[in-house]
Amino acid sequence: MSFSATMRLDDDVATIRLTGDLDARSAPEFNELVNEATGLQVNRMVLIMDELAYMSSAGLRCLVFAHQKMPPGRDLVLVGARPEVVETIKLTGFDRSVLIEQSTEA
Amino acid sequence: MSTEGARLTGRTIAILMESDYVEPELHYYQRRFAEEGAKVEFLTRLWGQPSITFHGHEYQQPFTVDGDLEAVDAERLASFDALIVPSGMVSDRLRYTEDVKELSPAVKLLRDAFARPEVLKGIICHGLWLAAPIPEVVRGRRLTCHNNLIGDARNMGAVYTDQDVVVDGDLVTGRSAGHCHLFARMLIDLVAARTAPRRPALPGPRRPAEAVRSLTADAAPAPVAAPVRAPAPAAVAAPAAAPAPAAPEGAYRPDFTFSDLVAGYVTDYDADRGDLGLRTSDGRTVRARVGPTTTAEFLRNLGHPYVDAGAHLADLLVPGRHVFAHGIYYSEHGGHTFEAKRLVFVGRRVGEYEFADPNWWVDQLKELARFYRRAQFGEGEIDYADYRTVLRLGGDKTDSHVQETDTISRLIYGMSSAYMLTGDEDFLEVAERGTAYLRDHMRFVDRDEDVVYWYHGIEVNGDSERKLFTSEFGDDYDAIPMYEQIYALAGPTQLYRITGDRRIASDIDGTLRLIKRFFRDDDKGGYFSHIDPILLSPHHESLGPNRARKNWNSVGDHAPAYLFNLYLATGDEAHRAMLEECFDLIAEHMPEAGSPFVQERFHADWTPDRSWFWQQNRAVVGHNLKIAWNLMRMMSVTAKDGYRELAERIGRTMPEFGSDRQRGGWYDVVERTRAEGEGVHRFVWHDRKAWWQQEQAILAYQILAGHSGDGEFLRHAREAAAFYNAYFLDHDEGGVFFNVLADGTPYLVGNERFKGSHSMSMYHTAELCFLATVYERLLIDAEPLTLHFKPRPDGFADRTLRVAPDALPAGRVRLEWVEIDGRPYSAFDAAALTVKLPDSEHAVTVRAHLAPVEGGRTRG
Repeated sequence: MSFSATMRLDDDVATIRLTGDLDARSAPEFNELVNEATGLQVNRMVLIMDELAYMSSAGLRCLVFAHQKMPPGRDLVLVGARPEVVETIKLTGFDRSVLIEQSTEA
Repeated sequence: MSTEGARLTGRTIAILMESDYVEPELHYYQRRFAEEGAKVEFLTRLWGQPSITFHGHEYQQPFTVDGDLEAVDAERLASFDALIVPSGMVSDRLRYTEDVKELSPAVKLLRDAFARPEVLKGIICHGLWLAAPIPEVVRGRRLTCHNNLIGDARNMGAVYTDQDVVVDGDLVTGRSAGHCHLFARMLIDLVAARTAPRRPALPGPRRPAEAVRSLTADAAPAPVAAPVRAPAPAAVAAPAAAPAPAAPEGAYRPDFTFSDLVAGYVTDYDADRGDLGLRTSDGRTVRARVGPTTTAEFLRNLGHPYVDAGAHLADLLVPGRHVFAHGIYYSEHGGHTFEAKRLVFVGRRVGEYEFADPNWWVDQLKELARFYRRAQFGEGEIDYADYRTVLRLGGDKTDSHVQETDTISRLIYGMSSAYMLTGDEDFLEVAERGTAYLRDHMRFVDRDEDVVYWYHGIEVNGDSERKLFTSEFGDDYDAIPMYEQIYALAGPTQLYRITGDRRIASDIDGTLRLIKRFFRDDDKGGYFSHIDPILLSPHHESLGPNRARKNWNSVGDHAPAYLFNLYLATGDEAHRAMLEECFDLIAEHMPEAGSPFVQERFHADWTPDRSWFWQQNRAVVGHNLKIAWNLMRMMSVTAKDGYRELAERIGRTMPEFGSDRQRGGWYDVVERTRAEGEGVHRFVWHDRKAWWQQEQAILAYQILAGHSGDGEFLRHAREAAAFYNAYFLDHDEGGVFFNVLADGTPYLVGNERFKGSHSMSMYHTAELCFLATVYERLLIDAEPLTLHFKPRPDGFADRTLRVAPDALPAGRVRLEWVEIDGRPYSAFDAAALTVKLPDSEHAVTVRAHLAPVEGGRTRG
């Protein structure tokens, strides 16, 4: 399934909606997008993941790297991630670094 | 600075003579050297006559010479401090030979003089002609001569240098007769700088007479002029022949007071006059005054009290004793008087060293472990949530709540080693909890690739933590450096040796898969130094100057940091093969003709990278020593002549280029090659000495001595350990200092003030204590050693515990007895150093007693 990511900026919040498979092939494109968001020094980065079918380790590395580049104390929020994606995140201990929320309504 | 006169009393200057000499020049020498108290001998070929009267070039002035150069034998030649070939037609006449197959007698004499570094050769103006039949004596050396002879000089292979006077080691050259006063002045300074009479050295230092230079009376320790350099070993012929220093214009001498350190062996002591003679590591003599305000103490270990030695100076200052003297140089009487203010005795008797006590390093490690335990966790519960990478000088914490993976790993290494030597379970607990913490917080399990990698660290903010995925260090920014992955394994691997914990084994294996799949260069061999964080590629453009690079650390640090220890724990052939591959690459690519130091950085195809950041074309002294040390360890795993030859070559060469033979200790980063006009390899930033480089020297020379029985290597091991123990231990706050100044004073500024930094945190300090104990007891002093292990019931494969503390030469050490949970145990293999563990429900405590085998030394 092809991957796409779109970013919306509202004041100092960047919201990125992910769809499809985030794997090693799509990781560089995603990396560019999150780098752009961190470059804007946003206060909060929200990833809408309910339409993300798969996230590989390469995709996760982009997230971890992006979080490292965000100024300390800013939030990275993952919304609506599927259980298997959450499992991948937990294997890296990254769940201690981000806010994982069930849905956009939360 | 004025010349005080009579600086050459008792010295002899020989000058060759013939017709067509330059009158003012020869008359100047005649008076000038005599004025300094020297005996001046004019020599010529007498052709069987008692004397010959020559006439000068300009005014036909007569000059009668009765010295016969053909009568100068080896002994007489050795009595000359300098041999001068003057200007004019003297040299042309003296190179005349009636037998075209023979050299003329004067040329032979000059050749013999060049074979003696202690005889200065002074050649001025057209005098260089005399060297034409023997060009090898000036080949590759810097010199000056008359403008008419520049082409001749270059044809001889010399490096013509456009200066009035040039000094290249024992060769002093002058441009023309018009510069004879500068030329004479330089010779006087050089001869005077070597005032100490030539005499046999103490048993300690090697090559004594070749570089005798006194620091008292009439010569300053600063470069008055280049002292005669001892010939370098054959292996480094290139640097020895490289350009040596030119004399600075109006040679400068410090005419002010300053303080400094001298490390040496006592040659003589006059208690009534307080006059002490010392001989340095490289055989130079120093006279020191010892007075009522001179304090004296014995070397002491961490946690040991100050022991005063001041009351027994006359008994202690006996010939051969190794001592440090810190004091003040006073500029006076045309030289310097050195008054010692603080003496440190490194042993109670001559030839004894406090640190050769079997428990010295064990006690030191215990103190270090207690310091870090207290600093990180206080006296109570061990909780890594409050672990800090940054510790202040006294061990207290700062506001920075960064926890770097590699500092925790190093702490685990140190605590595990402390447990092995002491059996103190508190240290084991610190190691166990640290390893669990690394697993929970620093580990990235990559299920897709089936590999494990380790975060650089985390920044803790209450309950949440920011993962620092890529390195935060400038050298490695935005990349995953091989170095950090290597050191992440250092601690857990050392703990694994003790417990056999399968969770540790699994993480090590996962990290090794990362290393072999993403860092390894399957094409050209070796391991890349960095990969990018997204695609894990060493070739990604985001890596910038770290793209497709290899370096000493990425290839060479596997072995000491974890791979030897992993092999010791498992005996796994795959690990042995990886060790062999790494050492083969080191031996093949790192040594380089033209420098005594290894090349440390490379492009993917192994061509040298001499443009990288700070390294450029620079050498880290400790990396050279680390190579020597680890090659010798490898000799006990897979012996190759090439390994031993390289290790021994480094061991023989390095003291001259990397150590401080005046004060003791080992330097940090120096230029790999000398620029034109430089007599010594330049320090890149400073002449400070870092703790970890002292470790490399101590271990390298201990293991070299332990394998070969070579007294020279043992002396270097002793001298390095003496300096480290005398000046790096922080008796006030605990732990050791990061850096000391050249004279041993702690350097406590900036990052170097800290005790927990990424490199310090109980790795090198503990590794030194652990392995110095092993080498000292088992390889040098023939003393036994008891080690502690705590294997888990589900740990080691086949329930085989391997207890060899390091890669040791086969047949040198036996396992004498084993205890399990305090009771004697018999299921062990004494020669293989393995224990067959009992089937047990719980972890057991194993004590393994190792002893050196009588007569077990062989050159393996």
